[in-house]
Amino acid sequence: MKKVLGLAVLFVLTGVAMAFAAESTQAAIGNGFLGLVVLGACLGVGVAASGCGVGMGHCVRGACEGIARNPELSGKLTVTMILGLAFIEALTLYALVLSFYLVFAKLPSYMALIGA
Amino acid sequence: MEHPLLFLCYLLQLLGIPSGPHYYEEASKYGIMAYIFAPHMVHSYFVCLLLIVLIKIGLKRRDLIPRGGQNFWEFTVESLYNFTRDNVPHGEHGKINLVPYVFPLIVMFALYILFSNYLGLIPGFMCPTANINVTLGLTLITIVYYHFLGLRFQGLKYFKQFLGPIPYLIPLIAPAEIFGHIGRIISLSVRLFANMMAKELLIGILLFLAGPFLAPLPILALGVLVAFIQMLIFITLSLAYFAGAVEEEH
Repeated sequence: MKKVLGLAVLFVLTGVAMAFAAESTQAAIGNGFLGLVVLGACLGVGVAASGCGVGMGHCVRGACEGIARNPELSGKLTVTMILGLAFIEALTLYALVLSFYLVFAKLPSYMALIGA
Repeated sequence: MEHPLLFLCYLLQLLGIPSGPHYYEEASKYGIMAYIFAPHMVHSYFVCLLLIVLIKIGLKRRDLIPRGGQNFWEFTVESLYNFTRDNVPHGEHGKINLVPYVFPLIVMFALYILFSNYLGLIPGFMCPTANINVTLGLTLITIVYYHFLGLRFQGLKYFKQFLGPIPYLIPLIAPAEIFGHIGRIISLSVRLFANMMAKELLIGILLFLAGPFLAPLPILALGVLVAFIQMLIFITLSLAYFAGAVEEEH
């Protein structure tokens, strides 16, 4: 856990350093900003996927236990489980859409920032 | 997702109509035709046309013992009818019967979304539902209609749902309820859109990374499943909203 936290702090510091290091040139600031945004988008999808993975694991475990106790219900349980999984999956996709918006829809404004 | 190789848009371009992704991006230059014949709109019209033609063919000859197309449509409509009846109040225990009000809408949603989702699996076509405008339109139909049904069956008592049971908690409950109803618009539209977009994006990335033939095949197979499940989720949630609007809070 400590290692992960240290790594995350290192990443963030690297990004901040990139953003603040070369204040002299406009281009470097723009590049560092874009880097931070990409980093944030990737981390956001990763965190969302890990949380949803835990949720889906609980969901499948519950369905498996239910089927093991009462195999006759397997059809109904499977349908309910797949519906639930699709609901959980949508949460990750919200993060994916948001990160795509950050990276691609905002790209022209970053490009304007660095003057390209 | 819009990709450069769209057969329908190409056909329309041959007729001289400004249709296609690059026209849509600069639509202010090409006028209103570029909006009307935007790629997602063209494919949406195509799905509507396909449904009309298929239903006309299915209804052409009606036998007592159904065969072929008639069999398929009877199965589809009967399954949808049973699904609708199971999920909304249908006149049991003296309650209201909501089935005639929502059944045609649910059939339209189910067939349109299913055919739209499956259209994206054919090379050279795109999903109309992989565009946020189309899914937002479908969602707004649901949202407006369930508020209408709530007012129709409960009258002004419908607004009591927003206030909660305890009078002095109204300032807390009412904003939360209203925010929940706004959140339904976002969640219902973005769920369908994001699932379809993510599937097509994954296919595109695999195409560029690992070659055109075998790599996207598992994702396409998964896409068949996802397309059906997303249709099922959309109509399930719509039915849940319809049922929630007309039932009294206990």
